[in-house]
Amino acid sequence: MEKDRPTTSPPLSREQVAALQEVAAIAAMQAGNALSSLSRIPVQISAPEVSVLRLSEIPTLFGGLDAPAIGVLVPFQGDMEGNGLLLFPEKGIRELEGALLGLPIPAGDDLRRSAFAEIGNILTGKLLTVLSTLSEKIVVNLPPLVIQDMAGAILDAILAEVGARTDEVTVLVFKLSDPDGANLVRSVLIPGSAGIELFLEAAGRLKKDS
Amino acid sequence: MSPVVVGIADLKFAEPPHKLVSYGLGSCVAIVLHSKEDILGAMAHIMLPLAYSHRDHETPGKFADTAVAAMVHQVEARGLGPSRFVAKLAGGADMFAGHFKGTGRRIGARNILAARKTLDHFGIRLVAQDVGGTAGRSVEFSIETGLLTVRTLRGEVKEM
Repeated sequence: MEKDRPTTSPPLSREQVAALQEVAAIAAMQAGNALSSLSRIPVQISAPEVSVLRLSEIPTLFGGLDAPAIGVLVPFQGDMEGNGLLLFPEKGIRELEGALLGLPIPAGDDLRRSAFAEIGNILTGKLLTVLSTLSEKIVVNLPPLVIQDMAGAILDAILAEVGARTDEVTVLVFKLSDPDGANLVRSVLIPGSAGIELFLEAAGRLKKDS
Repeated sequence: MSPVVVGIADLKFAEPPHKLVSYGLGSCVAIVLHSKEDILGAMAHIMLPLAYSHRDHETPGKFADTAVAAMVHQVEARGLGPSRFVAKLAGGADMFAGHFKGTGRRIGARNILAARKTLDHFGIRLVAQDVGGTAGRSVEFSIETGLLTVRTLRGEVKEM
């Protein structure tokens, strides 16, 4: 029985939220540009959202919980440990498959799995490289895991992993869209206190260098 | 009549003509209690097996043990005994096949086990279940008929 287990994230000041957003925006730009180069789709990059949410509120960010999606879980380790999750909705799957492979691929096909694992690797790799470079700390991504299922069921797993430690978490949500504004991929990162420190260090160096 | 949606870490009671629904259960488990005699049903969408501290009781729908206890408490508050109810379970999949090493490790299986044990503790008979595996599920429960419908993205539909 853990009597003193923290159930909420320490509150972030407005300046700290802005700092997180600044670093996340650079990472999102890099990731968006990489996806544009890879797919030749002119990817629209939204400003990343930083929110403190109850765990039960996180699925509501992703819309239809029983809608089909591809989830790419990218574990990372080093000075920040955890998992990044990318969720590709049905329309984003079709667009990216069309752009990358030239044709729609049946669900469960290994080629589809490999393509989305690679996209997940590249996008998360860009984010972590920005974070590592700016903070001068080491964070590396590990091989991704790809599943195809209901969006809510994919999210469940990552929420259970953090759910026993806390009721509220600081969440970074990245969104990349096609030129019509349709969602290609949404990514959720729950950085934890060590991760937030890393983002703040990165923002500090960014400010110093500018 | 729109259904009563039970979100993650939530629990709700309903009476006919309402149906209770929960979408996109992965490792989470839907715990359904039903009394045919009293035409009353409840559903919890739990994400973890056991509460850790007294603070966890503020969110009873999050844990299997506190969710069942809270449902029993609400049943008793209506002047009914828990033994008038039967239970059905759905969910508890292993979505990332053994990847998680922390609290998420084999979480689906641990959720199922905790739900079964807690139901047993309160003397509530488990009459149907569709649990485990590696696929997500959505569930709909009709309080009128007592039928729990479980759907997967692969097109499987089970009525129990």
